[in-house]
Amino acid sequence: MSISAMPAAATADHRPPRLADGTVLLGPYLGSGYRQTPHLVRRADGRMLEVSALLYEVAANLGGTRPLPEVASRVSLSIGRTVSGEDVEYLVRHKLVPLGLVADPATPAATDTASPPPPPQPAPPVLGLAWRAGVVPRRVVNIVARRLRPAFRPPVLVAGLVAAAVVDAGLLRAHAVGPAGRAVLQQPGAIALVVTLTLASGLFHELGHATASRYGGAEPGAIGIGIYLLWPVFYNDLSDSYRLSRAGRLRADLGGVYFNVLFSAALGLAYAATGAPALVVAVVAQHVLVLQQFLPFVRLDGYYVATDVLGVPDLFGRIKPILASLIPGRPTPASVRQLKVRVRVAVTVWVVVTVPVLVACLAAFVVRAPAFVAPSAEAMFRQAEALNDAIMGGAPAAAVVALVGLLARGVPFVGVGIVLARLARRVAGTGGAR
Amino acid sequence: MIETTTTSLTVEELDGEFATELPDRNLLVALSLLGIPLVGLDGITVNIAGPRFVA
Repeated sequence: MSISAMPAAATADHRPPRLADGTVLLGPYLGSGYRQTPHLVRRADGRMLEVSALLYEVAANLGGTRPLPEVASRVSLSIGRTVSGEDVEYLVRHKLVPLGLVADPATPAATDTASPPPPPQPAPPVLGLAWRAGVVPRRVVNIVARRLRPAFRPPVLVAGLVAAAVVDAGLLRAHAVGPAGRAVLQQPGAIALVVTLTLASGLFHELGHATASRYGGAEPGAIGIGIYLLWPVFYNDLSDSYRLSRAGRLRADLGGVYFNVLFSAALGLAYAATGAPALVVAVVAQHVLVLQQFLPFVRLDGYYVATDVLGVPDLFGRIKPILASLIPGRPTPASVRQLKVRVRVAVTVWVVVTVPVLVACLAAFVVRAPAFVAPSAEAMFRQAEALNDAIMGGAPAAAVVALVGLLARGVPFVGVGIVLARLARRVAGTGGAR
Repeated sequence: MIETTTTSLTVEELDGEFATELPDRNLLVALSLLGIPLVGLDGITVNIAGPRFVA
């Protein structure tokens, strides 16, 4: 490659390139399913990136004052291949600058201390989280998570799991579930208590993720609420946990359901002390919630467990290339070739199962929608009336039941609307590109 | 500026070096359970005035 092949901007300024302010090099992505272990870099805007070993070495050896041939010599020693200064310049210009990891050499000297603007954000994924709003700030989450870390010490963890098993066995032996369910249905106050406990357990679940992440050495982000597909959700931003070991990431993935188990045990003990049937129903709700979280087809905990077991952080991003690789005569995309053989087989199985499941769910929803819309709208109207009556009648428990009922019917419509809008935008964008 | 004239890396190899943004790791808990008892109660009127709450 000759210098004349470089873009004009590359030769406009001869200052050696340097990492953008705020960029942090975090080392290898541990437990990777790639043939060559990728490395992690955190950009100034907090976004995590994975880069090849060569790019990482280039980034690590840019000093801002070091001439490119010297950078190349250092990189050559690190990776065991001859790399030229031209190669380094090419990688900086075409790979690192566009992603905002390296300050653009063409940037005027007056702005030397500023971080380059991050590249434009891609459109949100069709099946991604929407309408996010923070509820517990990062600082508070970290303070609480630091204090709860002992919950993950092995003796405490074993004791918690055993206690939950004992509580479950006790409830089953006492045949408490059926009568409790019937009793709760007769009392709006009891239903409101179940709803409130389930909401609280959702927050506690997220604290479980945050605490597990903190226990492993990563910093959890804020906890918030949003809409995911058909559901209202709590979320916790654990992007920093990419830098944990595979075991650490799995601990963070499973920390949520572990806290649900602890919550369930505490509810069982409270039932033993009070005999309140709502507590038994809340225990059952915890079990259903935990089972649901293990679904690997959408971005619930089971999905993240799958990504971490396989060492592939973006399974949804692999759907298109994996499907393309299954077409005879088509070249295999690089993002598939980079996977280890057994990982590629496992990801293919995940794609082959997940795609039909998601398509079937969407088809079932579309087919049933006409019969679903009118009764739901009617139910929403009734819940709104009940909410009004409860407020006017000064009945807070009935108001909570009516409000949650209203949300339970309304959020799915909002969620589906978001998915369809994103899908339409994606299709329109693709059409435009063609 | 750069006097290196030999390299063992081709342009194709350099282009093949990957650098991609990772998706956020937002671990979610779906609150779909909240709707289960309530959706089933659509046909039930809550009587806030009397001792027997479900009419």
